[in-house]
Amino acid sequence: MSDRDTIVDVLGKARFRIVRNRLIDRAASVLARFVLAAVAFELVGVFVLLDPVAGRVFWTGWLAALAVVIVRAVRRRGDLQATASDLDRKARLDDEVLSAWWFVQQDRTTPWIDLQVQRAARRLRRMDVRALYPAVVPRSSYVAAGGVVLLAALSVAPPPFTPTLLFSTPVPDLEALDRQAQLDAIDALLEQADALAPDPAITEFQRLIEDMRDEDLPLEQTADQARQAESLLDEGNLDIDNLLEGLEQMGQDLQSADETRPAGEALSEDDLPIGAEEFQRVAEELEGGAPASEPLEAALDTASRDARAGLEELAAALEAAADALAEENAAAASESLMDAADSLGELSDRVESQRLQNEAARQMEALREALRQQESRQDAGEAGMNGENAPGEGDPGGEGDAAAGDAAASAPQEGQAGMPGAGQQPASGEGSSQLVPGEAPEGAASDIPPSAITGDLQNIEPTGTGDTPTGIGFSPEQKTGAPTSLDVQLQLLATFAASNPEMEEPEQPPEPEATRQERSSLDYRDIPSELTPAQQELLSRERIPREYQNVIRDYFRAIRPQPDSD
Amino acid sequence: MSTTQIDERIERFQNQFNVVKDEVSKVIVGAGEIIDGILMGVLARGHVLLEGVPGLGKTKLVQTLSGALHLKFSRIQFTPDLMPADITGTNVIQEDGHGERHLEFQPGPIFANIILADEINRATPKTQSALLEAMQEKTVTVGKESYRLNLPFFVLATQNPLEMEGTYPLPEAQLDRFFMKLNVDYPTVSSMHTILDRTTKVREPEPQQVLTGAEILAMRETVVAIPIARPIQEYAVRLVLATHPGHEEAHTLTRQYVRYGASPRGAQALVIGAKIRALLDNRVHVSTGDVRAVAMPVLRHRVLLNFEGEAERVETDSIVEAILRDTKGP
Repeated sequence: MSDRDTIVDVLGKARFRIVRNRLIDRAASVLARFVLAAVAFELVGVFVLLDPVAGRVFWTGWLAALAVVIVRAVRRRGDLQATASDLDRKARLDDEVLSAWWFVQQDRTTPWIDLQVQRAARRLRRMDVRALYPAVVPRSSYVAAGGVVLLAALSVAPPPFTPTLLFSTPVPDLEALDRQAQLDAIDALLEQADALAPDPAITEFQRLIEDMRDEDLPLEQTADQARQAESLLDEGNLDIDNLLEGLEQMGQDLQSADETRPAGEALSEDDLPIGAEEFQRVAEELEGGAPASEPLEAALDTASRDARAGLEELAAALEAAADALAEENAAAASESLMDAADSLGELSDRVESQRLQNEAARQMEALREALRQQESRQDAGEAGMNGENAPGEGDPGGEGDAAAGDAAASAPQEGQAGMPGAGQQPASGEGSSQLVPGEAPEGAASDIPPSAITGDLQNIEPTGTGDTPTGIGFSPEQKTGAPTSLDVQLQLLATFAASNPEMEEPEQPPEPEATRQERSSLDYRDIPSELTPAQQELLSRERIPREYQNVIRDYFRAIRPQPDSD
Repeated sequence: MSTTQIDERIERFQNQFNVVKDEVSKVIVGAGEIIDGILMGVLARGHVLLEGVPGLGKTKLVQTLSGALHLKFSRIQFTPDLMPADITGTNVIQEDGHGERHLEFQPGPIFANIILADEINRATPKTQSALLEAMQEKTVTVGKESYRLNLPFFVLATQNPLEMEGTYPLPEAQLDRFFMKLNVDYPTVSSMHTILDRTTKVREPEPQQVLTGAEILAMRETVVAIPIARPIQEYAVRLVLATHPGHEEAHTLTRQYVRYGASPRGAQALVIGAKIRALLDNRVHVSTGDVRAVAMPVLRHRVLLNFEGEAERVETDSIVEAILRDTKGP
């Protein structure tokens, strides 16, 4: 390799390493920043309810920005002259490589230039570029790794830190949610289950499904119905689990005899059809004159004694077979075993039916979850709408907005004719009321003109001067709710009494029954919860958590009345 | 010329340089950089201005150097009443054997190879300017006749700081003709002891003549033969441009305090000085480090302060330092 080629070659290698290290450094630095931002985003998601769509938007933008940064770093390769300069600096070569590279580029040759190039090439041949530009793990990569670990920890940590926005179940596309199709699928499963083993619970479930087909049914009600349907099917699981455990115990008993060992193994493995076939085989062998062994009789007898609830028919058949064998009545024993096989077949259908029901319940749960999220989104949208119309917005300290705010808070209420609209009344109504002294009727408060109570509220100077709920968000006032018309009525009386000290306190009018809306003009769902979103989600789950299912099942088994063992 | 011959040439250059330096160092103590600077000026066909308070051995240094070289040396003591003709020489009337009279040129002390212009700033600017032609064109014009000076020719001038009594500033044109301006500082304690040891004996050490004029010219040829890469040269140019107050690459301090920056002669001096340094470092390539090393003595006297700079007593050295600090290399 010529001196010039050597210079170019070494510079090429050095450039590769420089670019690589720069890329690693840059990527690690950027990754660290982005990961920290992601961690911050996730932490915000723990304390503030963020729409998972925002999470997806964030992560998409995150990845796109990261890709842009990396691509830009790769494209900034740098020329060989800059590499030569960097090499000189690193190896303290006093610009030897830079000078040589420049003359190589110029393609000039004089003895002095040749000597320069020759010396530079000789030095570069001895140079270990790898040692000069080792692959360095930048410090920022540790930060990035720490951030990733933290991010992963947030994803697997117990509530209230889970689920994070990163790993949360994406919200189904509600627009595309085909509720009818899902209900059809669930209904088909239930049809199959009913065909195998008719159950009143299935019929009830199907009825609920028919109700849910009504598109006009409120989401909340639909979700409630779905929950009811699930619980109906869940009840059957308990029986099936108990039944299978009983069969497993019987299977172990039957394995003590050679004739019934295959049947016993099949029962232990919950393979009921095979178990039924095996019983048929033994029955046919007995009918064909095969000698019955003593262990067979004992196995059948033991198995019949270990039967649990739901297995009475099978136990009776096995007991009858054992008795027949004891009496050396092979025909009767064969017949009893055939009955046992039939009983197993029925049990098999029942188990399969329950499996189908479970599948239907699972699909129902998914549908309910989608409905729940749809409902919460709608609530969030409504809350946003309410927030925009929140009282006092834009002028938290302005006097006179108090009444506007109050009115706005109760503006959506129906049946309150004369209630001013938001911001329609003057800021400070002079002549605080039409109930001026002398005009005010004495005595009963019922004599107070209704217009003074409701219709002419715009003329009443609000007592709260600017202290009304402020802006979007949840102020303490919002937690207690905006004043209802009753509050305003009482306030009016207090104001009237204060301005007329000689006036006797009117008798308190009978408190009208508050309408449903008046009970609370603020949707309880708008009140911020002390719980984190993860806790709220956990509480909103109706299903028993998987890790507690066994505990609860064991509990109910323990309290279940046991069949007589004698 | 083969690379081997070049290597030999470089080696010879270094040997000759070091021989002269060692010879001067026998007499002059603790002035290694000053000696290097003066020798660089000699090899760069330039002239060197030494500035320092009286008594620091400036004159002695130049005398010693001339003693180490096989060259004709003359000393001009600049005084306020010194006239240009006292430097260049003049036509005088001579009478021959036939009794005829004619004008004959009597060369002044400038007709030598090494000129010691001692305390050059004690003469008036008019007299100082008598050196201009000689320093640049290496000729002297008297009347209608121009006389060529013998080569090598270089002026080693000493001057006292301008603050001292009875000094005149050198004209800008003359300042620019000096390759370097070296500031001579007080010797260190150990150097002082050595000076005392050497100069208080019965016999002071005498330098031997170790280098001829031809050898100096050959060394000059070697210096200019070294190629310099464009990125390095660009760096030198940027340094010079940074001293130009009107240029876009001018340094902030330059814009504020400088009236005139370094001329192209400054850039030439930077490159030549850097080449000499490269040779002395046994290199055939010039580095930015070489340029930086010679930048201060090359540029400090070429940066002329404006009124504001003069009023605030700004040191040109600080401006050059700032330029060196802030101008990035290739």
